[in-house]
Amino acid sequence: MKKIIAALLALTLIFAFAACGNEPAADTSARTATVFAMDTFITVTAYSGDETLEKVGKLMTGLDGKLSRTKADSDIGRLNASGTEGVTVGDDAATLLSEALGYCAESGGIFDITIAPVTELWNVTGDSPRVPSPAEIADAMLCVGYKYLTIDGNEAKFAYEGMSCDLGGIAKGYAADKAVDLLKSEGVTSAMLQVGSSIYLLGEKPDGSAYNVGIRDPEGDANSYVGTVKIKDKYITSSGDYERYFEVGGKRYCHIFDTASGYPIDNDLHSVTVITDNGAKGDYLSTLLFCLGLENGLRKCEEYGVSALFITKDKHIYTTGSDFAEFELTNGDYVHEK
Amino acid sequence: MKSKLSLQFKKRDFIIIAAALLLAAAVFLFFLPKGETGRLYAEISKNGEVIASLPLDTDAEYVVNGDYENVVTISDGSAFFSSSNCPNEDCVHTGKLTKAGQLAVCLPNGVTLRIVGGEGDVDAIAG
Repeated sequence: MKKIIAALLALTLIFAFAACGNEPAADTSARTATVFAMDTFITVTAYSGDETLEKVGKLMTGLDGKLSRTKADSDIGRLNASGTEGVTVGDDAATLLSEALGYCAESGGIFDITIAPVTELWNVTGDSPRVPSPAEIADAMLCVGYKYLTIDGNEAKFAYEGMSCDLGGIAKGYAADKAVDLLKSEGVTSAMLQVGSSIYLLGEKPDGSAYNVGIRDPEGDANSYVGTVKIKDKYITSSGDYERYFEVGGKRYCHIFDTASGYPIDNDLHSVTVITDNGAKGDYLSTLLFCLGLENGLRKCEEYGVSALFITKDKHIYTTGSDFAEFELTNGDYVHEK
Repeated sequence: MKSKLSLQFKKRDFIIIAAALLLAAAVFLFFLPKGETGRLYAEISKNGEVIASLPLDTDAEYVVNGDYENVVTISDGSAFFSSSNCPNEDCVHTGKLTKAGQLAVCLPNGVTLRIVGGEGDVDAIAG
């Protein structure tokens, strides 16, 4: 009988220890900070002190002040108001302008940061979006051409009056890169940085597992997803026709433009999501692939070894590259083509 | 006499066993569920500061003032922006949040509504 009692007491201890084992360790509590900048919200979830998060917030607000097209006193605002005079911009704007112009050239102008006059005309993300007349579009297109924007050191200059540029397409990724650099320098090894719908996953989760990230369902609400992918130490970003758009007569006009025609992109794709090491490059690639459409986009990915996920309007999903190798479809409305 | 003695032992053993089991159960219950495991909260932040954390299992209504006025409603295990006088009402259109990690945002008013706690299916949603 004493043996039974001893066994039961032992069992008690085992239960107690087993239960303790399920308790999260004390140092895994994450802190979250949110700032509103770059026309979106930026959330940092890190296993660090509040001071670090505050620094990230300041960094983001600071970059917004330098790179925003809609702020008249930002470097880009001043450049756009300079006509053909040219302006001296700060290091961040100079770095990003020169990186962006590299992407414009690489894409053969399919990605073009000087599309701004056309974007402004359509005003897709503004208060009064409209479909302009073909003549208006043709006029605005005369002011588009990345080759006529030069950056020499910190001197940026347009060749023609009426030109303007918008770094909105890649500024979020650039800001994410900068924030991750800051977090690393502060000794943070695990963090989730969400800039609007793009996310930088720094390191892995404190328990050593990868982050599980859902890929947004373009036809569902902001919290529905088509499937999931495991990510460590990478940046994930999407371009699509579902977040910023307006509709006239049942036709959808999205915020990404065909730089050849001056009309919003309208092809077989709903969205493209890419996973990269670099935020600015990720933003560029997702935009470019979305513009290219499925067939050319897939070819481009194979050519350059890009990890991407394409969602077509007829609800087929195509994945390419090692980072999407273990993509898991969770929404039965979609078909994953392998 | 012998059987009586044996019966007494059994009774005492039974009490000890029962006590041990109770103790085991108490220890187990105390540690394992940790009171809050699985309980979800709606965390409301304004300009990055958490201003309210409301349990999702208790129906409630929370009004956030600022440049605009948002009403956050907790109902039937979900949290959502039930009304807002902001320009596009994107926050209201986001719909109901029920799982950890889900997020609704009112950009014009600087307000985020996030579900925290419990076990989420995903850590975040991209795109």
